[in-house]
Amino acid sequence: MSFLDYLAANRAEVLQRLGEHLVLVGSSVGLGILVGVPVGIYLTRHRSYRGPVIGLANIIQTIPSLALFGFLIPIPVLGGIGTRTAIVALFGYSLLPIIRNTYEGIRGIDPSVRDAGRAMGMTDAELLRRVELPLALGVILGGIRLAAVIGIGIATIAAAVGAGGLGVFIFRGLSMVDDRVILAGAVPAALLALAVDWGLGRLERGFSRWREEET
Amino acid sequence: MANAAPGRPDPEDGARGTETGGEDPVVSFRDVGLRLGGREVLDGLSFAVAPSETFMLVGRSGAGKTSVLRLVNRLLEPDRGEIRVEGRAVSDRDPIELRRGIGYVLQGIGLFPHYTVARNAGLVPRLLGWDERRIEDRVRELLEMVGLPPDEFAGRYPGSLSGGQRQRVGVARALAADPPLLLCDEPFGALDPITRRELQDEFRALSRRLQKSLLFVTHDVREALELGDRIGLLEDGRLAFTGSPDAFRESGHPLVRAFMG
Repeated sequence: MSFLDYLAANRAEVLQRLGEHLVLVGSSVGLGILVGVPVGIYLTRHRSYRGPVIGLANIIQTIPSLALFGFLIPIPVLGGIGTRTAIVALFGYSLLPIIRNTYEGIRGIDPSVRDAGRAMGMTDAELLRRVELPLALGVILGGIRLAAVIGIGIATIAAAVGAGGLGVFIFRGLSMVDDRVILAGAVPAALLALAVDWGLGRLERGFSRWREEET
Repeated sequence: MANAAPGRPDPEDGARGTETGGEDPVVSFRDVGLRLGGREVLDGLSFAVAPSETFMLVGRSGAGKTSVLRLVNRLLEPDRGEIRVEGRAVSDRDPIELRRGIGYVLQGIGLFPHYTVARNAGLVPRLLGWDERRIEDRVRELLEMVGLPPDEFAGRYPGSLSGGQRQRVGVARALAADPPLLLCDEPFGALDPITRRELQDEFRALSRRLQKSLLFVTHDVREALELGDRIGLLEDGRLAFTGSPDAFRESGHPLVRAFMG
C-alpha cells in the first residue's frame, strides 16, 4: 500500500488534522498580528525600545521548538497539555517577523513623504493610517507570510504536547517506523505552507499596485 | 520703529524691520533664537513678509534657512522670540490647524506614492473635510493652473511622472486650500536647469496672479534675484542684509558681494 492509498483510506482523519493545524496556525498568527503590528508601530515612535524588544523576540525565536513546548507544559494558565500551549508557543515564534517587518516597513518610507504629510497638517494618526500603514503594508504582509510559513512547520511539533494537527501522523509514523504515515502528515503540511505562501504573496502584490507605474 | 517697506535698500533693517509699511505682515519674526543639537542656529532673527510679497531667504548651506520655514508652521519651536502669522502668535495656535492654513512646497516634494495625482493635489482640502464634489472641482482647477491637463494626469501615480511634473503637483498641493502664505524650501533645487527655468517663470507668474505671500528659501542667488521682491541674507543666525534685488546687486556689503560671487 502506497502513501497515497494510506492518505485516501484515512481521508477523514487527515482533514480533521488539517483543520486542527489551520486553527493552531491561524489563531497564533492572528494573535501575533494583533500584538506584533501595534508593537512594531510603537517602536517607530519610541525608537529607544527597539533594541530590547526586537532582542527579546529574537531570543524567543532561537529557543528550539520542542524545548519551548516542554517549558510551557508546567506553567499554569499559559501551559499544560493541549492546544493552548501550542498556540502560546506558535504566537511567540510569530512575533519576530511581524514586529520587525512592521518596524522596518514604516522606517523604510521616504522621509520626505512623512515630512510632507506633517507639513500639510496631518495628525500622527492620519499619517499612520493614510500614509505609513498603506506604504508599509507590503512589507508587513511579508512578515505575516513568513510567520505563517514558519508556524505551519513548527505546528507539526505541537502534536508532542497533545495539540493535534498534522504532526500527529508524523509522531505516529515515527513510533510505527512507517514512512507512509509520516508522509501523510508531512506532505499535507508542506502543501499547506506552499499554498499559504502563494496566497499571501498574491495579497502582498495586490496591495502595492501603485508600484506598477513606477519608472 | 523703522519701517522695512518692500524694496527699501537698508542693509541694517534686518534687526528692526518687523513692520512693513503700515500693512499687517503675513509673517513676522521678532528676535527669534533657535538651538538645535547644541548649536546656535538662529540668534536674534527679525524680519517680516508683507501681504503678496515674495521674500527670498538666501544663505549658505546649514545657515538655518529651512529651520526658519519650519518655525513658521511649528515643525520646530523657537527657544526665544516671537513668530506671528497673519498677526497671531503661532505659539497660541493649534499646530495642525496652522499647517493646514499654510502652503508648503518642499525640495524633496514628498508626494504620496500610493495616491494618484488628483488625491495628492487634493490632500489638504480632504484633511479640512471639504465635500468630494468641491475637492474634485478644485483639483481640476489646480491641475490646469500648474499646467497638468487633468484628463491626462489626474489618475496617474507620482512614480510615472518626471521630476518637473512631480513638482508641479507639489505646487498644486500647496495651493489647494488657497492659503495666503506659501513656504517654499528650494522647490526647484533638484530639477535640471531647463525644467527649473520653466517652472521658475511659471511659478512667478502664478504667485503674482494669485497674490500670494511667499517665504522662499534658496541658495541659488539668480533665483533669488529673479523671483524676489526682497532678499534677506541669512548669516550667523540673523539677517546680514535685507533689500530689493537691485539693492542686493549693488550692495557693497562684503557678505553680499561674496554671495554674488
